[in-house]
Amino acid sequence: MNTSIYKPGESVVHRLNPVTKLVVAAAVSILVFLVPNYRFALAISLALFVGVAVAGVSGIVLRLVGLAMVPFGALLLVIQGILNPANHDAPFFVVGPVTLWEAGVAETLLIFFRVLVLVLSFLLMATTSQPQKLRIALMEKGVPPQLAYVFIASLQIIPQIQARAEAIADAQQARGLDREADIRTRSKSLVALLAPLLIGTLIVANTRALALNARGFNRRTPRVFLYEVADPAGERALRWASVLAVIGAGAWRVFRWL
Amino acid sequence: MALIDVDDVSFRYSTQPGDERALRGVSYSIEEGEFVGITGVSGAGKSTFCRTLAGQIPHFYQGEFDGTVRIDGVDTRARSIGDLATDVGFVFENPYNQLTGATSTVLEEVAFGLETLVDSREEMKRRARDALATIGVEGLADRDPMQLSGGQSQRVAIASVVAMRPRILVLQQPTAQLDPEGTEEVMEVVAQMNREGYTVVFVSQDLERLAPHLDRLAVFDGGRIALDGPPRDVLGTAEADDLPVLVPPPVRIGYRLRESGRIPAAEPLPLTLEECAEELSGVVETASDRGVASAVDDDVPPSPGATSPNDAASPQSAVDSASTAPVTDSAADSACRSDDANGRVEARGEVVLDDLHHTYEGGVHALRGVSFSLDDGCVCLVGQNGAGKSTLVKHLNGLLKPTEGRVAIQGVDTTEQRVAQLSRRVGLSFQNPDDQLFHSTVEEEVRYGPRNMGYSEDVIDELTERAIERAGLTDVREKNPYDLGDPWRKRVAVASVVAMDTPIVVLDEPTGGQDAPGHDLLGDIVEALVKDGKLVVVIAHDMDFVAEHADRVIALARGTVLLDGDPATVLSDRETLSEADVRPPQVTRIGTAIGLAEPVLSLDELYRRLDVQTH
Repeated sequence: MNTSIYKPGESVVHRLNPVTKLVVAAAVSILVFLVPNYRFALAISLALFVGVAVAGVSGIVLRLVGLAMVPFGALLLVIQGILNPANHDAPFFVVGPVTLWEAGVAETLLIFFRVLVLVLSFLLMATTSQPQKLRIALMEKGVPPQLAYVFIASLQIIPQIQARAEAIADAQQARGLDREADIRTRSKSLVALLAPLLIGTLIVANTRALALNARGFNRRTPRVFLYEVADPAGERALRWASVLAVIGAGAWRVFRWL
Repeated sequence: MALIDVDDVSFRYSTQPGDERALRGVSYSIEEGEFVGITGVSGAGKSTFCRTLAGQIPHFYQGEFDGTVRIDGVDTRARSIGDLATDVGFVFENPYNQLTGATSTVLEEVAFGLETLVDSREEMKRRARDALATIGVEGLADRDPMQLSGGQSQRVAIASVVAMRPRILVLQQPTAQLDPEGTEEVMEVVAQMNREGYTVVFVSQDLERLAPHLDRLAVFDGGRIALDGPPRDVLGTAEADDLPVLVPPPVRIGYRLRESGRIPAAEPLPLTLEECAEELSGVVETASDRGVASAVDDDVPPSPGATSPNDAASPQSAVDSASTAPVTDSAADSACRSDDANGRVEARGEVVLDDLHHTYEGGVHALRGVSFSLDDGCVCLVGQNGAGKSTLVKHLNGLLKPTEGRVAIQGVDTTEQRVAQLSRRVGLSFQNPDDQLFHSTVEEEVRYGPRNMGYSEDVIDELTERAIERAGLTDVREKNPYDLGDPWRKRVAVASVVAMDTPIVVLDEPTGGQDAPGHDLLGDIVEALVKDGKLVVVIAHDMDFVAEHADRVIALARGTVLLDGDPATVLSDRETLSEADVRPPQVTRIGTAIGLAEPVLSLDELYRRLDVQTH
């Protein structure tokens, strides 16, 4: 059982300031949405895959990407490639009564790689940034302590919620809930699975808020941090470059639109 | 001046009806260095009292607050929770909820609260390491806090509070969710801290372990302090007046000896096993052989063939000797079992485990060849956390399937049916009630189980009614389970499974964190189910519960059966049990300490053996 999404390591990606990773992730995610060409998003995705391999976090990242992106891609292809009438111009491929449209395929590729960049870049950031260093780095950049805590806690809480969801499913099945029954029965049973999870999460959040408070979290005195998070000039330049690239791409889009 | 001064404090939570109060005019003071225990039934005001000490009331919980609480002379109203934390450290019941959930090492976790308190990183590290050393967990500094055992987690939680260097520690049922080993760890550490000068307020139902450490014990009842004083006196009074307090066996035995005139009434009551044994040793001599011998042919079943406890290590011999838990050949009568018109599976169940192995995906080999069969009565599974108890019971309703070997429930192989189908034969109630509860009233929650079984409305009504009554929930049936305390929610969860009326009922640690009435109630439920002819399998850490209710005890260790037999045989096999990290119940240990040849499982039995009459 491993309850954290963070995978410790010594790679160059791990050593980057967490805020740099966060800014770059945000920047590339915005960029791919500004550049209306799937090849650009594909190129960024490939670069990110290289980063994932270098960081040695392929195991967890590929598993999560597969879980999210395979069903998403399939759904996208059905909706954009086959169903969406706006894309019905030139057929790309015809199987019996089903036509896959060219414009639909292009649209699918574009959306798919854009979302892939978003998912990959944030997973790479989350799996290689030690939560506390991320929190400290955020606060050093002026993010309020509460917000910084909530940000890293929500990254960490996913595996915990997963474990609890399993415990709840076990407990309700033990009371006769049928997870393998027909769709109607199963949709009715959703509340039995979700309600305890939601209530439980609220109770934990409440207790945590109180416990953090009782550990002086809300005191307004100057803070001392356990770690020193390095922030070399090169990384600052990288962050500015990312921001400038986004601004540049945005300006270019606006210019073309005018 | 007292360090803690509570003066005429009343509190009503904003969620409570207008005339109810969680605290009603409580006045109490605690001197520096005192170790105060607090006990009482669920809903008596214990938690609310603790919350006022740490300033959580009035600063966090909304409601009407009257009176004053002063810490070292300063009104808690005048200080924030964060500021008070440097004087009052507060430890919650569930360590997992108390930790930040966002750190990757224990050291980070403990240092977290120091961010706003210290002047330099070096001081932060030093204080965090000091706190870990104080609690005796410095070896855990680099571990992931979410991967610790319950006892370790709770000690880390205490360390994170201690790092802030408070003078007072308030612990709100910190051991209720821990196994016996974790409980011992936490009690030991807190007692040590008290010796080092900390003032401690410790809420617990586990007085057997807590009372010997205390300077003072307060019993809460209905929002007031009903009793307060040295633990011997308070527990003596509680025993004499039959108050709903879990009075430890040494006190009860001591009280009985005084009541019967065997010991002068003025002598202080014994509190520990050693004190009790010493006192009893004198009595045994005066009782002579007569008392010891006459007990054997009473209606208590003597432990059959248990002359050599080591026999029990072989499961077969123990099974043969288990006169109270008949283990019949199951194949013969399973054929005639059938579901009746109502869809209710016929009573009497049996379970056959044949060389059961389970290896989890991650490679943990949790069960390593477990074989036994169960028919009826109350079967208790004992053993330390990680021994495989939970993994084992999840096989009984098919939540887990064997990775090797076979599990058959009433002749049906569990791999052949879905969990929902098996749940008509086996009802299983897990340890954490909050994994189950989601209805807005207790009654609806209890109905959920039987409704899933597909019974007719009449049958559901009848079963729900009976379960509510048995679990003592009649008065709260219209309430929302989440407005009730933990022990009550547990009863609701158990009732909901009992209402399914399955021939086999499995309960995971039903008495954990329960108050005295809860203990009795859950014991009664188990007895009633057994009387109905059901097979009841109970995972139990509470050896007193095992001694009182088990017909058969199976001790697991490292995924194998260590002992299997009747309670007298298993519970008296101290040496083998210690391999499973299980200690016999206190009354059994007292019997052993005074040299009784046959194991004793209950106080009544002990009194009979020693011929201690009340009249």
